[in-house]
Amino acid sequence: MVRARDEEFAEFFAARFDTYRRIAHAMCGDWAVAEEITQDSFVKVYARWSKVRRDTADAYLRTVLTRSFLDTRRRGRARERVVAEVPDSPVGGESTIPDQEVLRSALLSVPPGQRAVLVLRFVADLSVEQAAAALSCSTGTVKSQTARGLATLRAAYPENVRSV
Amino acid sequence: MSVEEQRALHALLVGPAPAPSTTLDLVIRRGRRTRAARVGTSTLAVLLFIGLVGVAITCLRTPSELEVANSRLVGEQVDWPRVPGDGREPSGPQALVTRNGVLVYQCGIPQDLGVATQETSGSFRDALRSALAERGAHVGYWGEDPASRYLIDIPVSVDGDGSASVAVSTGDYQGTAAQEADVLMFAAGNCLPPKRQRLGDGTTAQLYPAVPDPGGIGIVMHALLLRADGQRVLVSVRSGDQPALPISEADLARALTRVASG
Repeated sequence: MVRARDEEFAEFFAARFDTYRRIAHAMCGDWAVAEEITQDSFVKVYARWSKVRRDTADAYLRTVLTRSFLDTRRRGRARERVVAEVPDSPVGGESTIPDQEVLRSALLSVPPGQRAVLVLRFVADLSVEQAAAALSCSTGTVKSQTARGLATLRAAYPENVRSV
Repeated sequence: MSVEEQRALHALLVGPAPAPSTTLDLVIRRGRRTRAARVGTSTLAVLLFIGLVGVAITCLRTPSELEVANSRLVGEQVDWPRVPGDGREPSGPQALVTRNGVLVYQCGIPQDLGVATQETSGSFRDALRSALAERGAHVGYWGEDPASRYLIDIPVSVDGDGSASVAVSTGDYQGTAAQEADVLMFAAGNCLPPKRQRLGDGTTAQLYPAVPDPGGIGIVMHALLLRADGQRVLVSVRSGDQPALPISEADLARALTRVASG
């Protein structure tokens, strides 16, 4: 039974770890922190795997990951924990897509709460309802936070530098 | 929001990224410990409550009575001095817990003493393995799986069966060894202060009394090695489903002394 559960979790982990690490990176802008947040989130999901239904596991993972990111920001990185290995530099250098880096920088200028909403909505491509569930807030809050976040993002990422 | 803006944001999911360092084994190992700690904490909270209400009232023991009770759990004892309490006390009330049919005292909620942020040196592992084997314990396969470098868990038994184990993890500490040892004096959930000895290479060894294993079904005896260079090594001997530990306190102390002098 334990083996079957672990195999199921292994499949879940293999299919999602990198994607969620990238989502975490979009939120925090730091690969080491993103690795830590994502690893912690999967650890929490594994610890509750027997209670998390397969069809709700993604929603639970998103909630845990978003809360981990927001908690990390609230604590101001006070609780440093060493990860097993220091992540390598991005393959191909810090950026092979300059505009993407401008966008990343602009996104990091958005306050953490609004940034989490933007990442969930537009990077992770979630619906308003799914983002609200991940953040444990109302859909109205998601909409208002989205509007404010986009305003801040557009100010930091003006149209004349967008090449997309 | 324009379609272009949405596409640009969604494109952040692709592009260059460092290779992830997290492995499935690491996540499962940490997840199991998290789950065990959660179950252990819940169980412990109930037990502590019961202990507070009734059982502990009739089972409170003086330090000398605890010493006698503890000696039954750890087998042959080493003659290292027990740290004088100097007014310091366990963080919680005494509770009596049954593990594998054995009554074990516990005080407070045990902390996770393992840090597991560094690879345990091969020479340490080999020396410990040899020392354990010399004491008559059957030491299981000591894997070289890279994912296990940070937390080594070796099956050990006296009869080639059972789920007893010795686990080793390595990390670091700040300040002096004495300060760190004092801070962690009652961290294992122990009612008696630990025994402490300065070993040949300047390492401070702190040997804890056996306590209920919060993540398992049996009892656990921890030894903390605080090296002079700031490295800290935790060796945890677990009984698993066996009523007794696979090696005695004296055996563990001899193994640690040998590792330190080697």
